[in-house]
Amino acid sequence: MAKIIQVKNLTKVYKKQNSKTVVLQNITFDLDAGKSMSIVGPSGSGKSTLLHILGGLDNPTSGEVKIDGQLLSEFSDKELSSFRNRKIGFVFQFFHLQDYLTAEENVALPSKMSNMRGKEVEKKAKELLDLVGLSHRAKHYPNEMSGGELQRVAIARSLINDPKLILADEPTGNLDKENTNKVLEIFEKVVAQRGVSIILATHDPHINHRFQNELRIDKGVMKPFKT
Amino acid sequence: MRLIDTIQINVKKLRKHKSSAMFLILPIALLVSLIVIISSQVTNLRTAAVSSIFGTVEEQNTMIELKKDPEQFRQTRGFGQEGGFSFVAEDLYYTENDVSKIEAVDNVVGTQMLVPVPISNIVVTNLFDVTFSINRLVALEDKFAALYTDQDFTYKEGEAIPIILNANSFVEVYEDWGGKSKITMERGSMRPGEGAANNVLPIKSRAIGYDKNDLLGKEITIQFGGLDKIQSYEIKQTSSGMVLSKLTSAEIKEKENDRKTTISKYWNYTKVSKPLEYKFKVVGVITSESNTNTFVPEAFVNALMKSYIEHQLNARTGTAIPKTELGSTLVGLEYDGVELKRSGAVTFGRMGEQGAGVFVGRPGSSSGYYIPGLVIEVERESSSSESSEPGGGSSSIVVGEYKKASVYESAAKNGESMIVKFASIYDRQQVINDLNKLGYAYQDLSATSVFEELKSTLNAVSVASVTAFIGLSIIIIIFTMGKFISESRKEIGIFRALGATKSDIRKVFIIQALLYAFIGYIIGLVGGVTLNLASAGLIKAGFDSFVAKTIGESFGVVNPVNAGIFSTTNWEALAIYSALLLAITVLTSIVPATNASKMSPVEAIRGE
Repeated sequence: MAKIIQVKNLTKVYKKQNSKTVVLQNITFDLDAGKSMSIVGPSGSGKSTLLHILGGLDNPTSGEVKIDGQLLSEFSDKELSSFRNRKIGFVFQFFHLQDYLTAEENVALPSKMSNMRGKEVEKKAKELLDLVGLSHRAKHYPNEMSGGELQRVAIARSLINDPKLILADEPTGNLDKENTNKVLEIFEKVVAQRGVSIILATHDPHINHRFQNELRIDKGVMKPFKT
Repeated sequence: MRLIDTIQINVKKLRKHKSSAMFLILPIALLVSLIVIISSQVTNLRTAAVSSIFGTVEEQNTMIELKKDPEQFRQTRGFGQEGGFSFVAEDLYYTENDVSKIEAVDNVVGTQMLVPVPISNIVVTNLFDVTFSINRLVALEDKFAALYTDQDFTYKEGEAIPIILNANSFVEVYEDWGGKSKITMERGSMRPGEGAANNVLPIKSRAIGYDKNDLLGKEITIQFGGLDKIQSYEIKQTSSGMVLSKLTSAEIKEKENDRKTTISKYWNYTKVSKPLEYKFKVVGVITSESNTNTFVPEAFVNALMKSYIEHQLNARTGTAIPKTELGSTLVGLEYDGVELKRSGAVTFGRMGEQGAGVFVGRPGSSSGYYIPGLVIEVERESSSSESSEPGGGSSSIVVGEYKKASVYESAAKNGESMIVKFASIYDRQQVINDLNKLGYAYQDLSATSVFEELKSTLNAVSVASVTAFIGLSIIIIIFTMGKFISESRKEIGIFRALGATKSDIRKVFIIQALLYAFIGYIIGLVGGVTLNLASAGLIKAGFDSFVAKTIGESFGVVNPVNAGIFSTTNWEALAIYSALLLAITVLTSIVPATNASKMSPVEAIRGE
């Protein structure tokens, strides 16, 4: 089975003037392609940093990160941008949609960065909005939608360039139970139907059971795997 | 990212965040509209200044008129003292020698000797209710005319000839015997030019009132030559003084008949007594106290003199004139092979011919008759080694009648004054200094510094406005783009997370700066052009009062300014400012945009 993620001895230390903060220490794990995984830990445990490093937004202090078989440290900044754009989909706790773009335009935004245009992108954006159950909201602006709807638009956006991996950082952190459930259902559907891998960071111990794998960290240190 | 996508994104952003965008749009709009007004009006003021002030005055100040002052020589050479009389022509006139000396001075581009046309009886018949004569009609080349007029001074055959009148010549001469028929002048009161004599003399003169603006553009007729009026009185020297007795009309008639008989021997009397007549158009009026010249184009004077002599030659009968009569009974011009002069007795029987002073015909010399256009060839004194030099004087040996009509043009000319023209107003001081070193005294009285000041003020305003424009637009763009970017931190992080490269981020913000600046520019342009038009009247009023208060007082030649000048928009300057704004926007926004692209996406996303 091909590995979508291979992490070896990953350590991240933040240096601030005289003090050092160890955010992640010796993290080693991997994930098969097409599988889902939750990273569970209390806030401040280093989950977000780990996701950022996996997505190439941040650099590890030491250790190795391979995504889809490619070593991230070997990429230039430009290659990294293109890698994020084509292989990674980000979903954030606070949705991070552009308030000046409609739902449909927000979904299509990442495709602009890889210079794609026209009818195909439009069609795909509509399909994805359909997938998350929001085709009727296509022309609406973020300020006209509820939190649950916004997060589903954000998920649709993360899928526009057919990524191999979705990195979701507390995507349900701001949602009620019903919307949380909807979001998780979409993730499950995506993994099952599209073969996309998902890593979801959460501090909510009630949702991790819906993921095939689990990584627990506390204060930057790994706890035993769930099997 | 494609350019079109970055533009689209920025347009969408602008639509949603109009009020925030105004932080850049409004200042740029204000700046652009100000610059439209300032750059247009600075140019307009300059144009107005050039057309109303500099055009004439600046041109004027590239010339000076040098003058011989006989009074100085009278003192230094002791003229008027017993035995101290020793005048040479160089003391009274500038010669070719002076011309070559002066033209050798650096930056002197030309000179013109001011030589009065040697014709008596130049009479303006139809300008005022009364006629008046022009005593000093002087030929002037086109290029020197700007010293006295801002209008065209070219002589074109068949058209009214441009003339610059001199208000000093607006004098009416009349006779007033005070009811008496005999006036006795005692020796003591006989000095010419003195009030006492003038009051006693029956020949009086008075100034004619005029309105300068009314004269400009008027067409007038001037008569040249013809025969003099017969003197209406007789002068007798007695032991106590001079006695003037009025002649009766019968006596005058008799004198006229005598003249007719004498002249008719050699000329067709009717023809030779008929003056030449030309039409002129007044293009300037000199109102200076020290300048008594009336100017006409040099080309016209040459043509006039030729026709004048031809006129005389055509009127001749076949009878040859004996040499003995030339220069004594019949007088006219004398030509010695170099110069053409009025012969000594030209003043006979005429009043007020030499300048403004009144001369009384010399007793005993009134036997001659002045024949207009007659040129008498005389022998030039060859004792001088430089016999070709003008002013060498001539002997009184008459050779005969000279028959070449174009003699005037080729004859050497000497003048009491001379115009010196230099390359530009900036050479004025140097040329005047050099002339003074050469012994040509000239006291510069012109207040040219006023123009320098106005000019440098306008220049300073345009330099200041360019500098302010550049400075302010840089500040506005840096400041507002900095503000936009710090407000867009999260957006930058998200864009980076979604796959935007650093150069994408830079592009997005440069395009944003350009887009906002462009909108501001369009608003500013429309507003500026509108305000510029609206403010035209105000600026004209300001300009007019400025000119009236400053330059108008010291210089006579200020033209009224066309109101349209101030409604002009300076599109050329605008194009430059537009290019400048584009360059500044791109260059200035590179800095904050590059900073934005370097922002850590992690930090940008974090921190809700």
